[in-house]
Amino acid sequence: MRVAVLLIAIVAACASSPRRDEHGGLPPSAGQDQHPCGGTGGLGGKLEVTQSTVLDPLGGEDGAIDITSCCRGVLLVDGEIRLRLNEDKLASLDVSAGRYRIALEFEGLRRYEVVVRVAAGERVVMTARR
Amino acid sequence: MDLDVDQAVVPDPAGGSSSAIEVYSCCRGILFVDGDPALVLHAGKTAWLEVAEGEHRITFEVEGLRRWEANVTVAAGERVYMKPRRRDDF
Repeated sequence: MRVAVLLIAIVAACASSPRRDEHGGLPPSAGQDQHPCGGTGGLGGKLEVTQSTVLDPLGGEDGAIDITSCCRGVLLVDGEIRLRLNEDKLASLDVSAGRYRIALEFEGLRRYEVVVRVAAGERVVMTARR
Repeated sequence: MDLDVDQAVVPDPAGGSSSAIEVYSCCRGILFVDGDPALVLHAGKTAWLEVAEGEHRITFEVEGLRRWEANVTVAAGERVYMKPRRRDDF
């Protein structure tokens, strides 16, 4: 009986932990943040991120990621901090065309992750709000 | 640092009835029209965008500067010329 109870407890604990991808990272969300905070203080506030693309006639072969953010934080590209974000200010990052895993971390808010595709001559414009 | 935007209304240079917003920007940024990113801004370059006649919520997001927002009315056959600049620029 005790063995059965122990097994049930182990199965329940495994089922409640977030699934990870093949690299051990959390999967990207498609819009709303669904992930627990990854070491950013994590008081559990919700972060709403919108994303759209705008053509840059002068963009040439490269693309860019632009973000306006509600709060101070950082933007990570493929796990590396690439931009420091300030309240209500635009920050821009030139990137080559390709797919990138973008993470946003703000103090007191849940971490947000998404995979974005940046095409040549396009800018991905993201807006982060509480 | 803050952003100021000078504005002027000029007739459509083609003499047509289209409405447009034209921007000569001090800095790199994005122009939002009614909440959507609409125009990429480059320092010292002009860009323009045709819009529907009427009032629009215009937002300038420029790298490193505070957001600037205003309602702008564009009439048929007119072009609203906007020049965002740093507040300390002349």
